[in-house]
Amino acid sequence: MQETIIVIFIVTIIVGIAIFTFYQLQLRSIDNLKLELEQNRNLILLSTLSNSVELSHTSLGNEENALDTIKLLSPSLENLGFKEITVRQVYPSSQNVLCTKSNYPECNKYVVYNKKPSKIKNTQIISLPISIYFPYSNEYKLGILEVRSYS
Amino acid sequence: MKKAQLETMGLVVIIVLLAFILVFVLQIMVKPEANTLNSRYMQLNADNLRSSILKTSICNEINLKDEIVNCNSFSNVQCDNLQDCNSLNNLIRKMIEDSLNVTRKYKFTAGDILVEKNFNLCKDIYSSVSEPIPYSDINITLLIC
Repeated sequence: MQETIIVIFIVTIIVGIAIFTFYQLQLRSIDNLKLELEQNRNLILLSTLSNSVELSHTSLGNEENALDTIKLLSPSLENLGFKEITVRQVYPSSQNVLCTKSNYPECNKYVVYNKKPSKIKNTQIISLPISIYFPYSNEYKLGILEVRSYS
Repeated sequence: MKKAQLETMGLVVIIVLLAFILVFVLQIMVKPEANTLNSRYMQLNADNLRSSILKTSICNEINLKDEIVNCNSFSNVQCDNLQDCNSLNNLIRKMIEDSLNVTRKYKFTAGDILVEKNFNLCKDIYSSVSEPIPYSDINITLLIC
């Protein structure tokens, strides 16, 4: 009888450790899944922004796969969560100045969307080369579209 | 407790332990491919960079694609801010290196034009969709890794 109790006790401990380890692994797996989902969402956002009605340059109804700098000056993006979306001109290189209606086009950075949480735990940054269009000079320049996602 | 009952109990315990081991093994074996997201990101970078640099204006109404055609067809450039086809190569190199954040290994080909860096060290190669130039045999591709 005593032996049976000892065996049951040891087995219970083993099963308890197994359940605890399994629970920890599941938690870690859920965290990874959350991170992957967030990365996926950011990637989808990054790839669709250049063709979004709010930012893209269109000519005679055709999407030109470029961002219109006039639209970047007064963007109308909403409900994208805690993110900062910026567009930076890299070629031709120009002075490192944030673009506003008063200094356009003598600038190189446009903040399209900015919503930060009160406390930032984690930041994910992904970027993509993009074409930016200047309607007044009818020129295309090279830029980088960057999404910073905060959690 | 009878001996038969004890043996049954032992069997149940063994089965429970085996089930736990099986769950752990399955969890490790059935892990999704971690590189899917990264490969999509690299592919997107290659495609976007190729289309963006070709569209970039070099001088009045002339973009990089036009100058690539000029260099391949006439071995000369039209824009005054470029001296020759060699400086066009340097310009392409500068554009790629300034805008490509994900990697430093690339290979850009457009007919006779070849711009590359550390491409022989590549293992997983991501190729942009190639862009043929109409009425010529020039095919523009960008490979990154």
